[in-house]
Amino acid sequence: MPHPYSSVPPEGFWKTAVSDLSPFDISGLWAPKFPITRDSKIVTAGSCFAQHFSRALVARGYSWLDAEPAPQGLSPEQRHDYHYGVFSFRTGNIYTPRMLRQWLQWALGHAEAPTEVWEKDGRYFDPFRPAVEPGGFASPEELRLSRAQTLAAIRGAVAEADVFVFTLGLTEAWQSADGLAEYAVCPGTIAGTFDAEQHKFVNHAYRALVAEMTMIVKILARANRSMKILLTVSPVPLTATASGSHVLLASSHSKSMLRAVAGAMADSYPAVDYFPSYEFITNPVFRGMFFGPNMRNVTQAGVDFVMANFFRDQVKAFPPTSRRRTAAAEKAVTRPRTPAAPTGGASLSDAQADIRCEEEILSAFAR
Amino acid sequence: MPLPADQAPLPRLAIFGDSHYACVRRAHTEGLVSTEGFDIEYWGHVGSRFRMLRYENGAIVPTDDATANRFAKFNEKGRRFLPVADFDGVLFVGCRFQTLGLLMTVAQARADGRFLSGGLKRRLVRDRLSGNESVGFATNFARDGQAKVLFAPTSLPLVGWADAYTAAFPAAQSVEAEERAEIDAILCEAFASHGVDYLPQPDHTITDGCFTSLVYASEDFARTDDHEHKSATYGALVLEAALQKLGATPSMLERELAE
Repeated sequence: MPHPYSSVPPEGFWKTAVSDLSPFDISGLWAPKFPITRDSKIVTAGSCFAQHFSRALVARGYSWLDAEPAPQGLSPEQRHDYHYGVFSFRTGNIYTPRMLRQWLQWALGHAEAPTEVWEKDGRYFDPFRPAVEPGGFASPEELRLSRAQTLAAIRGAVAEADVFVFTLGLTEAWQSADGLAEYAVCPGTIAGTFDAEQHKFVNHAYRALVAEMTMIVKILARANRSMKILLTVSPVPLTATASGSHVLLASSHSKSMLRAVAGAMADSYPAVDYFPSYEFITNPVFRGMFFGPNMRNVTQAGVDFVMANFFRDQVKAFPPTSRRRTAAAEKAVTRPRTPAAPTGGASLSDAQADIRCEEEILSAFAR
Repeated sequence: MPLPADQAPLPRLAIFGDSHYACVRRAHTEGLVSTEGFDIEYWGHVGSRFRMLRYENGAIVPTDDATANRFAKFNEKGRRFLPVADFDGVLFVGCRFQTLGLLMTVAQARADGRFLSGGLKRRLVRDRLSGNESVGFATNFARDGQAKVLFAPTSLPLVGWADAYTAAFPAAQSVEAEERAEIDAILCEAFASHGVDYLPQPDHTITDGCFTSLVYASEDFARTDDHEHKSATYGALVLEAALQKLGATPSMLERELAE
């Protein structure tokens, strides 16, 4: 009887799948569980890298769900600065599973959002999305009105979406001392005041991450039985760590943990899949070529490579029918665009098109 | 030795604008406003010529002879450039600065159930100011001269106006008085931060959310269907407001309107 390795296909062997190939010819890393077509309504949320995902989807005419669109009449710069169109809703970056679980529970009415607000120079910032409103809100009431709209957008998106793409970014986070709320950033960095009595550092461990992700899967499944979940892990290393470790070790620890959790979730649930953008960027076979000079930022070439593989593997697993293609293409073309004000219609410059990343603020504290 | 009061030079007011300043000039010519106590001159031309203006050494200066000739032709003293130092007050009228888009954005956001924060409204106003060359001229005048600088925007189009842009804002007609007042307050605050007094369009001239009442249509509206330019009566309101800012007492027209 032949042993099991005799029937392993070429992609199962390092020599034929990796070392004999140019890095650019390495493919087939992903065998998607479910089709994501141009008809699929796709929600994106998560860390900075998730923004690349939404842009690529939009560029290819996919139905990325903008559940909290900008008011009509804003210029591209205004929309971008106020975090419209960055993720499917105006939450800013959602770095950890715990943060996503919070947002979902608040949006779906399973829990009340904390009343805490951060104040800075007479302006008010949302501790759970402090960067979405440059300069902060005029009052706590205005903050809550704005957040209510975001929660409604999440609710609507979850009900409507076919696929929820979540990019896991960090295991490190800051919470209220009682552990009831996890903040988007460390208090005192963008706004608020750090108080060691009121705030605590957490570095989520594997079991806690799995527990949070399990809750997320259940919450989403209850809200929308047909929804699929696609997990990715951000390849972007930590800007800074509060763990006491060297930031390189902290990054490795954090990303390894998230990668393992994403894999475990995909193994456990038929409706959950894992797309290996993390491996495309970080694996040594790619020689770090997709990182910028600081070995942290992912280059456009890297993003393009990742997304090209995403679309290629989808088509390979689920060849589109011509009828489906046509309908989707028409939909993409007819999707209404928000007109900009006549005096402010300049297109977004490359520099301003940089992705939004709250965590970046931490680099300002490097000595 | 100071001159006797009856020989002291009158306060000098320059009125600078694009075609929208014509209604002010007509109000002046037709005597709808008492300009007694002021030495007024006009310096303006059609909006397309505004692309050929720049700011230089305390003056608005045409970039070519043809433009300088055009402006000089319509100025009482044949000025080929407008130096702030020659005036005690400068009133900018129209100057391609519009508020229609701001109002429509506010109304449409409300109609669509989209939250527009105070900070975002201020950003919209700030960007509108920074994108307008004449606001830059006004800012420079306020900085470089002693003159009081006033700015009256392009009046809202007459009711019935429709183009591709307004069609994208079906809720435009629902702009409420409180929303107009809020945007005006933000505009006043933003202009004041540049040292400029903003003169909002009088609210009683506005109808259907963000349009000017047909009462203020220009005299040949029936023939031209011109929804942009306004009558001398409207110009009188702008001139009145400006002269009051410069210390004049309210005129009969102003008192009548107030009643």
